[in-house]
Amino acid sequence: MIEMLNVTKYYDGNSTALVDVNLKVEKGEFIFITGPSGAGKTTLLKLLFYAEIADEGQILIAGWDLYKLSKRSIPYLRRNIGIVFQDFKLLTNMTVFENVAFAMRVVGTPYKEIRQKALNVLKLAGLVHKADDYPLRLSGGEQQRVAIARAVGNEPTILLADEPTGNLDNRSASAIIEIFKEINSKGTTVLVATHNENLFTSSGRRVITLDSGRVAGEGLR
Amino acid sequence: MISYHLSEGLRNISRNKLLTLTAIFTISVSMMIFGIFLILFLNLNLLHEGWGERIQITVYLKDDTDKDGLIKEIKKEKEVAEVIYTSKEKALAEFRKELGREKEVLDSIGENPLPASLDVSVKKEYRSSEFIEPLVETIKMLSGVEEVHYGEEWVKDLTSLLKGLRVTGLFLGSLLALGIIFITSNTIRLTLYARQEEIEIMKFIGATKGFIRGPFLVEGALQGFGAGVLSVLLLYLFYSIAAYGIDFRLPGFNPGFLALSALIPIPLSGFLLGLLGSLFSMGRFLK
Repeated sequence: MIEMLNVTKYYDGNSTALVDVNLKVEKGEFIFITGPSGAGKTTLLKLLFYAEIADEGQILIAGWDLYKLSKRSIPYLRRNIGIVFQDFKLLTNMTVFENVAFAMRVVGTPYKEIRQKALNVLKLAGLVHKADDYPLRLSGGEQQRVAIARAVGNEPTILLADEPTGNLDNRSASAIIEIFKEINSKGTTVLVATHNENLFTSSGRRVITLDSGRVAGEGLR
Repeated sequence: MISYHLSEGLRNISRNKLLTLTAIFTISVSMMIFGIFLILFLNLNLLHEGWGERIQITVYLKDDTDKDGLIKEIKKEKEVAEVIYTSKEKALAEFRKELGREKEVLDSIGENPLPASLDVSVKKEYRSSEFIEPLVETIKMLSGVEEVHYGEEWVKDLTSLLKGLRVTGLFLGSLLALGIIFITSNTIRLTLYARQEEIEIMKFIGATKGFIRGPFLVEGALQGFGAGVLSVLLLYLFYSIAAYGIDFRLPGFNPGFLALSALIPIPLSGFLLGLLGSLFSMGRFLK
């Protein structure tokens, strides 16, 4: 599903963000990427959804070879990938429901289907009762659940989450992980980048550790 | 999809009412300047044509000239519309009439001092200095011709003024068009800054460039179109005021307003320039 072969990414010419990274993620896997701040976690995710472009190496994702990707194809690549950010990135002038529906409208989902689909993912996120609220009236955990609902609304094959619990307390954080597990159980490949070890300790999931842009370790935890 | 672009574009406008109104007003002022220029040009053309009718070449004849032969010769020239003969006697009678009470002066001279003359009028399409001057030269060469007069100075002046205005118009038009593109692109850029986050999110969700662009194109095009309509209305207002004043000063001259065929392109070009302006501002934003 995802394959990175000898991927290197430079910033500002010579400082390296990622060095010779090799990574293979199977369809339906749920993995964590960890490491200290500045280890390259965010860069790795950005390379996957083409917000950054690798300087060396090859990246294959959801059937796309990013080296050969044309600019016109970027939106279509991203429709296969749901993205969750640490700062949620919700549109504050839209309600919870509208945020989720908006993502569906962007990719051309027929109006008739949007309502039902949006309600389904809000149900998954446990937020149906908040559908008409504006994001700023919600707690951080709730806002992140809206962001997740939006990310999976278009049924992506891959879900990328960059420090999804970075702004949340422990209880909200484990609720988020539960939702990820639920999404993963339906077949979606999930990659979570986090420095919070509590999220994956004794999870039984594969954990990849980055340090100074290199893969420093890999194993089940 | 189109209904989405339209409704979002209109929403942008209603969210930034003041900004949009300012832009519409500024654009309409530049369009109006061009419109005023067009009207000026049109009316100078009308004036040129009106005065042109009065362009007449007066040919003074030597005494004892074969006038019928001369008239025949002059009529052969393709530029000539009509030739009217005024005899020595008629010229004297007209002069007497003009002199009124002073006519005794003529009586004291005894002999008729005035020459016979021919008034040559020129066909409409040849009423400019480039045709009239060679015609005058040809007539001067004919036998029996004493002197030839015509309003040479102002024919030259008006012709070259109109030529100059045509060039100025082209220059002014392109300059103002650039200005309009600049204004729209700046207004749209401000909207873009205000909605930067939304655009970023749309990109991550997988929105195509066309989808993101649509509402902003609608916004720019509507701005330009609105400005075009406003400028036509303002032009008509100013024209009416000015025409009222001209009526007093130049009786008999009917100032003209732009025809419908010249008016319709104004909002239409506003529409296109607005579209272009928003395209430009987004080029960099959507990279």
